[in-house]
Amino acid sequence: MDNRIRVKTLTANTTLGKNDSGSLFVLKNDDGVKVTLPTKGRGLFYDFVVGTSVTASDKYEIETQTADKIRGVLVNSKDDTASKSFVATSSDEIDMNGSTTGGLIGTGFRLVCDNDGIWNVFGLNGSSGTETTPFA
Amino acid sequence: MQRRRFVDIKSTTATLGRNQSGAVIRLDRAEGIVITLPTARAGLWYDFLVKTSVTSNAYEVAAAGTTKVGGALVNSKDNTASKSFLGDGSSDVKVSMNGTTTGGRVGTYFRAFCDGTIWHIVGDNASSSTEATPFSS
Repeated sequence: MDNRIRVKTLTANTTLGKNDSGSLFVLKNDDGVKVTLPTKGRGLFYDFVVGTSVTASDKYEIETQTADKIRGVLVNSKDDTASKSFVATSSDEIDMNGSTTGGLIGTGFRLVCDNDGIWNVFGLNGSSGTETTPFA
Repeated sequence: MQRRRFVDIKSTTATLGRNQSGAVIRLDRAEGIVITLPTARAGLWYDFLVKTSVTSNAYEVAAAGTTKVGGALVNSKDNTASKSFLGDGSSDVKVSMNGTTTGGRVGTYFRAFCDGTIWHIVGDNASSSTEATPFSS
């Protein structure tokens, strides 16, 4: 039997449900997509990869509910270039603009919610140009 | 309690099955291994872990047929600034690690996800010397 994970392709703005936990979301719209995380819940986790690089005038955005925060590290990864890491201690969203803040093909990261309602993020963020934090 | 299945590969070549999705594939042959991923199907995923550093030939993880590979690997050298490499998802068809510049040393750990169209590779790739891309067309 396959041990497959659920894969959901996002081409439009979406609010995730708790029952989506454990899924792999493929961001696939070069005009950008806004993804809203559900209200905090211990153990909820979501994986994201970029299937289509977002164009520089748009962005992929992952945002929390008002009371929740994002904490963690994303490594902005440029091809054949030294990496630069960015740390979030209390951010509301991850914004990837298709260049300096990432969102290119190559991006892959996980968000896991802990006991305190913090979304912990770790992963790689395909970027170009002069890297800038994707956390806002 | 939930545990991951480990699959040790010591042979020259191996083709992964769909029923091995979710397993940790340990690469354990210094003379290299060519691994072929199964036909693309949404939701398949594998973790790759280098148990024995490759010293000749290469560790290769290749998509089947015309499927492409995208993603990001950070070529990591001990106590040294890392360098990232991106797979483009349009021409790259495999990850190839030669034991030095393109990685494949002990410490390497990455995941391959399939979205039904391409394989997304994300993780760390232990390397040495002057890093070069492990993604190959």
